[in-house]
Amino acid sequence: MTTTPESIAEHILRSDLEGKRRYDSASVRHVLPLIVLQGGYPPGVNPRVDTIMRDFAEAAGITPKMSARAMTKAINEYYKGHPPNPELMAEVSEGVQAIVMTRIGAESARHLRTHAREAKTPGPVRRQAIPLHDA
Amino acid sequence: MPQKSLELTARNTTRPSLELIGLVEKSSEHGSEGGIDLAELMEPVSMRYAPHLDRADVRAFVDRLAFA
Repeated sequence: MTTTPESIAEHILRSDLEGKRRYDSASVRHVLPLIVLQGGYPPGVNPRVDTIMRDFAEAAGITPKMSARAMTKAINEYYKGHPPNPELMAEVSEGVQAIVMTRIGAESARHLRTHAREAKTPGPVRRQAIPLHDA
Repeated sequence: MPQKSLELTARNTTRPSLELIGLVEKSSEHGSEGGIDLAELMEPVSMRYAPHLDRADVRAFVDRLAFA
């Protein structure tokens, strides 16, 4: 089975043996800004993610003209007052690590394949006749 | 003006978008002057490997979680 960001997310969102969701939506949404902030997000924000980030910014008291240092302080204070679910946070951190490791592994494999192609293909082994007697 | 447009206008002026807030842009400037210093994030919420994530992977991961 291939490990992808989606499959790791599915793993985090899986239900328990009784079919009950392990983490409610609010808990999951609460940690999403941390992933976006620390991992970056490409241009063209998903509207749902945009809404989550807007709500987060509003709740944390972050404004557009705030300095980066003030933003960092506000983020820390917000999560200090509203700590994320520690088990969920641990799973998300492990998931992030797994995604990074998968990406590094794939890039290493690609690099090795490229390197192997670029390396000189060894020709046939030439056998050198060994004289059995002095010429 | 239709009611829907009024609501959208109000929303956009009171709750700036992600790009306007500049959160992602500032966080991506990690290490440069003016960027959010992720190292200053508290231990319980800091993710050691997150800065090494590929942005496309972040999108895939976050977008799926956002639909929880």
